[in-house]
Amino acid sequence: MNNSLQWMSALYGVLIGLYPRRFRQEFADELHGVFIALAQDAASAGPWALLVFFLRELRDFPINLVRTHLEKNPMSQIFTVDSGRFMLRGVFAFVALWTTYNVAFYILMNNHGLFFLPASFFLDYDQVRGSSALLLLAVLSTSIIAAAISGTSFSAILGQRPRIHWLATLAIVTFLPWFVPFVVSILRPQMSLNRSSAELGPDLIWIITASVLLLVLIFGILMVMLLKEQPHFRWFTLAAMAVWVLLPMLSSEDFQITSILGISHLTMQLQRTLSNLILGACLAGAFGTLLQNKRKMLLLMIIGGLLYVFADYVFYQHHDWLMTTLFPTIDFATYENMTNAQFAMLEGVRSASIGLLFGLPLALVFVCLQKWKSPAALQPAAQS
Amino acid sequence: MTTDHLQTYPPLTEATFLILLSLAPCPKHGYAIAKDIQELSNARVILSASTLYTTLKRLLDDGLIERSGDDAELDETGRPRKTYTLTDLGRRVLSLETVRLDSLVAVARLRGVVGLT
Repeated sequence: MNNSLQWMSALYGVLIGLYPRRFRQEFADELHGVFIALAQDAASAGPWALLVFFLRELRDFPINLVRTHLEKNPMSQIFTVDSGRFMLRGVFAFVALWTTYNVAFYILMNNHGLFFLPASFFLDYDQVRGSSALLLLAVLSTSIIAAAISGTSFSAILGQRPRIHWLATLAIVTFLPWFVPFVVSILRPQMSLNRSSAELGPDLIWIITASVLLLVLIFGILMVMLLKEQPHFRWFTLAAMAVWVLLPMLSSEDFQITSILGISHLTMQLQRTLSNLILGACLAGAFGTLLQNKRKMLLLMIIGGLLYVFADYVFYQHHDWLMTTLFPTIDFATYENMTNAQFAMLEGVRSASIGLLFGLPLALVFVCLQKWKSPAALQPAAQS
Repeated sequence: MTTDHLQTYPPLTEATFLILLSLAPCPKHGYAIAKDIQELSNARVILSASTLYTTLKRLLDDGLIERSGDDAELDETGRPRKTYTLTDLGRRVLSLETVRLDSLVAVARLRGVVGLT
């Protein structure tokens, strides 16, 4: 081996050390051996060929190094070629719906759209009541996005575990996208009820916080168990759930976390940016997964959209009756007589009702669609 | 492996397709794959060692190829020379991609693309 080859080999050996440990343990010796063999071939064709060979190796090395490090992290599997192209399509679909939603809200509320609000406001639009084409558009956009989240959860779970006790997963997915945001809304009572932290009391806030964190933990464990084969979706979902829970807490005056950290001036910006980014990533991933089968996705969206409007209508038609029956002492016009416990109960009833009206039927649709094999899906099997 | 899963593989990258194609007739070790690809593509595609092994790792992870350690031999530098074999799934994905490419070429022929007619 000549000098050039020797120092190239030594340099490449050092560079291989930059690969993740697992990769090195498995491939380092082989990779180095092939590099030397290819370098010897190039050297036999002359110094110019050797230089071209080495430059090619140097050009490709950092790309492959980054790719290998990213593959090590399950969350980054969204960036692999196969999942990446679905995600990109999902990004376009998501941005289109997100924009529609925001434009509709901007016109309806003569205010900021959800681009400027934390993600925990995402499904909580009951302050906007009325009838217009724009409201319908806004509701449909929300419901399509919501359908994508719960739909993906369900199809991912059933797709990986077709023989799983689907009734158990049905219950999880029915409440997964709904319950957490609604419970989180309890954490920002000043916004929904104009209540100060003194009125709520610090004890209750911490109890609610602990409950929410426990809930997220339970969902998290279930997601990790059920979505073994869908790491990108699993991690994005968990991240989105964490953001939904943690960011409102971070900015809440009750906790004074930002004052303690001295970042009060940055809180809202951080909250808006981070929550929207992660929610966007989660939904883009969800859309991307759904977009793998266009026919099923279209059906899910249409059914989900119609179902949500119907569930929303039914819920608010009977909302007053339900609430006055369950909480006869509360004045729902002012909320003045409501105790903290009743407030928490009310939010729970709300989320459970919406979950039952919307999530459960939708989840059943997913089961049917999951079991339904379209002719297009069967074709490649015949070919192969 | 369901047909839905199979559908997510194509289109394959050129490097992936050529590696699978190289392993189709018989198992090979890394260096032999690199040389075979060079030959298959008339030296148009020359894989760097890092690209070859990053792709091999991904194919191994996806179950499209297998790596045999039992009959590991040593190369002239004394380093291990593992052999890679196409799995049934890999063969199915390769055939699916070949059908896809073939249909593209057929369409191009129908449109009278120069060089194909």
